[in-house]
Amino acid sequence: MDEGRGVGPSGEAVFLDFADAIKRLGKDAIAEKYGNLFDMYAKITDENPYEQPMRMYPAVHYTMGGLWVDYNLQSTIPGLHVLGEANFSDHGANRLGASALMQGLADGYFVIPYTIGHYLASNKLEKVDTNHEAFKPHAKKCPRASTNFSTLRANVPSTRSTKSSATLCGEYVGMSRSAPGSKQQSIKFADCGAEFWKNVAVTGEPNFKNAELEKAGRVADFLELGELMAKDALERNESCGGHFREEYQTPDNEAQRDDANFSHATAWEFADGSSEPSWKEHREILTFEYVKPSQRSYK
Amino acid sequence: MSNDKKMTLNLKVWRQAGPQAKGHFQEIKANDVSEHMSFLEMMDVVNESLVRKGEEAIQFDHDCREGICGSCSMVINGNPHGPDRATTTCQLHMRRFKDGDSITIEPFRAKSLSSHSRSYRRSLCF
Repeated sequence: MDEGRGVGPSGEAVFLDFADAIKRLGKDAIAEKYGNLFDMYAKITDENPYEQPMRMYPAVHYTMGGLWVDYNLQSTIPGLHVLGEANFSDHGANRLGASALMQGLADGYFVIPYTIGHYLASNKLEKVDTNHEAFKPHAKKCPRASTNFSTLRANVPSTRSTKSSATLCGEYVGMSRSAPGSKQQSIKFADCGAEFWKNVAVTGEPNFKNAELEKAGRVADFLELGELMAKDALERNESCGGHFREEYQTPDNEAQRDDANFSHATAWEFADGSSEPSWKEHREILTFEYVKPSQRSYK
Repeated sequence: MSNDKKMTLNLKVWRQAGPQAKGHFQEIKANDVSEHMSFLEMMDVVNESLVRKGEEAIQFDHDCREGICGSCSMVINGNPHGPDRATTTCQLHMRRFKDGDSITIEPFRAKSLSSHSRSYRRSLCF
């Protein structure tokens, strides 16, 4: 795609052609293995994948890892249980693809029914009221934030920013990252954010069901997350798991880790208060006692 | 690759401000609809133009957008999820319609989802 050889009207697709496989194994064998996928493709594009190459387009649709949970699916916050793709439990740090339903079912159907009862039975659930010190400052902030969105009578739907920020992420903090790329990302994301806050339009009632308000709030969060992803990619000078830094690869283009300096997980703490949001780095050192990491190879 | 035929569709969308509100059909023209769009993508484009005009967007539930979860619960021309069997609204593509068609879009109807019950508000297209 970078060489301008992409196909399709967007110029960003590649062909997946089963012609050789069909010739070699016969249409029935392919239909048995991939029939449902071929039918879905035909429905979406109105083209016959048994006779024409399929157009494929890369898309990011999950993140690596998730929140830490114990065997009962409880996080480090008492009572907060995390299920499915939001936790790390079924995959660890390198989440395998095509397992969304598995994660949801494994945790939701096979685990939590047997573990939530233990939490409920062994904890006295005290009544919580709105005088709680954690609630009061947010009770003031939230309605103000909603009204702020609604009074910005600009004219660009938040979906525009969703698309532009997604494109930036795909380009700079997608499958491969680099130091200059991460720096570019930070600059362009800041522009994207400025554009959003200046032009976003949120119509509808602020105090009622309002999907535009929900979307705008999420875009605001994504804009911060995108900047942070670039910062984090820049800080980690190695290639590891889902993070591939072009500057750190083996002669065969495999990931090159630096366990001496980067055997840690990083958590970023948001520091509000100043005009520019800033982030404080926290490191959790990872020590492997019995199963030590080795060099990944797909050969 | 087939031509990207664009069409204009006349939508009649049920709008209702809340469970106790009366509700009405609003006529909206969907312009420049590509046959490759899914029904929800068409709704997204219609909503973008409504928001640009300062009007309230059409609210509809959606989640996976890949035909698994069933959240995109619209009644299209009287059929839940539209005319095709085993096809959710998000997997219904606009080539099933032709230029100038009228499409009526409503929330799911069921006794348990009557306009006076609280649960109507959950799966609502308004």
